Amino acid sequence: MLLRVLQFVPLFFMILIVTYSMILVAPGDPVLYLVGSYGASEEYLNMMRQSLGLNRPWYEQLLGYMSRVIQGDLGYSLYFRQPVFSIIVQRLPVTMLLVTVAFVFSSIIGIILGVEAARRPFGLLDKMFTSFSVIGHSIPVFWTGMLLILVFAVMLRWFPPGGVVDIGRDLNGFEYVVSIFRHLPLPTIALASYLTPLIARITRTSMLETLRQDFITTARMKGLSERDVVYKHGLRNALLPVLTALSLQLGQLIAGATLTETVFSWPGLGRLTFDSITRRDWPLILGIFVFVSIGVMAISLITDLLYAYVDPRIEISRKS
Amino acid sequence: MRAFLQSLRDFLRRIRHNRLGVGGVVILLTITLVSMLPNFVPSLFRKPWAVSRNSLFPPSAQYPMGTDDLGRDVFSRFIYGAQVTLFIGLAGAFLSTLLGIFAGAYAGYYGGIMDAVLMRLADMLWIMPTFFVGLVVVAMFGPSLNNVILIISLLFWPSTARLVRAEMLSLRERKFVDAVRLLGMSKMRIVFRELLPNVMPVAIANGTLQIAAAILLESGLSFLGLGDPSRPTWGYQLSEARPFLQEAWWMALFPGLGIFLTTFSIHVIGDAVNDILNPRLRSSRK
Repeated sequence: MLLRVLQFVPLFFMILIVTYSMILVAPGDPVLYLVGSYGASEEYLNMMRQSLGLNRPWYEQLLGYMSRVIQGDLGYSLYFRQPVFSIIVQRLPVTMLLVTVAFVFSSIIGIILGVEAARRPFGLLDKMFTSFSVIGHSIPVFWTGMLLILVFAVMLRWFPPGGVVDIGRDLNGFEYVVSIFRHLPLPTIALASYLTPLIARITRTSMLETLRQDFITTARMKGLSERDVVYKHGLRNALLPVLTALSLQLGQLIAGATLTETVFSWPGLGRLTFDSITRRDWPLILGIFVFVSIGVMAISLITDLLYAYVDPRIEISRKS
Repeated sequence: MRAFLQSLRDFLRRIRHNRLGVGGVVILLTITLVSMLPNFVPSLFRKPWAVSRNSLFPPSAQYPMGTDDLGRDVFSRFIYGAQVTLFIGLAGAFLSTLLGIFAGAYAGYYGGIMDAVLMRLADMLWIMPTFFVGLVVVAMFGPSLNNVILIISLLFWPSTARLVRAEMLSLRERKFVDAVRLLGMSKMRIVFRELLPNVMPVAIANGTLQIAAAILLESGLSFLGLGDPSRPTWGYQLSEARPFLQEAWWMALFPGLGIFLTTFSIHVIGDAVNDILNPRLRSSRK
């Protein structure tokens, strides 16, 4: 178990090295950028380089950057004039709300779909499901979002086209919650339309594998109802690999969330990324990148550890 | 080479029996041919960047897909977007497949330290959130066509490399490889003349799917404002459509439909290719 945790360390440093070398290699002098279009004397520029540590050798800069990141210092946003880390922490809950709701929603539907498809492989339901998942796989999430806005917000006016609460009105506690719930469905459906086929496909593969095993035959021979065999004995064993496979898709999920948030003006991390790109706020973009990469790796590590804890057949140190 | 042509002929014979696959080929060919039309009959099309006073006109006989906020013809932008989008998809997938074949063949056949290094590198790229890496690189280095294609190929090669490496590992132990080695063929020739042609079908099937992945990745980046304004892809056009969603549905509908139809037909073709290459699956489906 310790070994698996130790594997995480080099990856962590690799991400920082990659990020920092990008800063070093990218075109443009950061000092000139800070000075802006007014221009400044060469003397002043040198002074700024000195104060920012840009005149030191690259390895010293890199070490400095790493030690700052470990202390939770991801830099300073040019636009907000605030530490990057605190901005990210402010935006995180809104993103978590959307992602969690969409994830729970699509897990329930995706797992049921995947199980039912695996019960009769290449049957009618499975074929229908396969075509749906190819379609879901081919539509860009942000376009699904745009279509949802067109139909349900612009044409039918059932839901607001974007945002997380109504702005411009004073809302008391209850109205506030109601307002969030009116804003939540469209982005959730958009993100879920992307996640559900993914979860369903992984579940189907894992179920096909599980239903082929001997203990399923045993359960059938014991005279259990088919539903108990599939859902109690089959699904319980099939679900763990699904979790691992999903944790590997986490980066994709966050990419989907970023695009969905951008379409719906959902003020979370994704929308922040989009806004930072338009504002050319490099420190913030890089900070979000480091935060997301490390977050994704940490979660996949935690999943692996949990997996070994839940299923004693797995021995972490043996895994290659 | 002869083995490769043979398998290609075999493949063409089989894909004819896969109706969905044929449908995908037809859609993709149509889109490709239509996107080429302005090069042959330029008089039929407006310039995609020609601004006019007819701002935000809905679709009509004059403008089959309407106009955008600057009065540009959405239809001719759609056609032009098809060219750029398809080019990025093809070029990105082609380069990444090429990289993957070389890395995988080298790692698989020679093994040793380079194998370990290449595969650890592939592992790392595998864990990194691909979309965000692309986002950061394009944001830092500028959203030019070349940068986007380059980053796509740098992000996508690991999957091809893994497949090719696995194939190479099993192929190099086969009897025919021993035979040509005894005949005194050089290592290079064994890899290029004997082994690679056998690996090609797998690499091509994977490369086909990567065209779709590349198009989706590029669309997402463009949608976030990381597209090249002088080369508006479909994703870029969708990012232009977003602020006008309430007024001009046609700006959002057609480019998205283009992305969807293209990636859908590529996925269908890719599945057909996989079915054909994987006989185990094929027999169980009948």
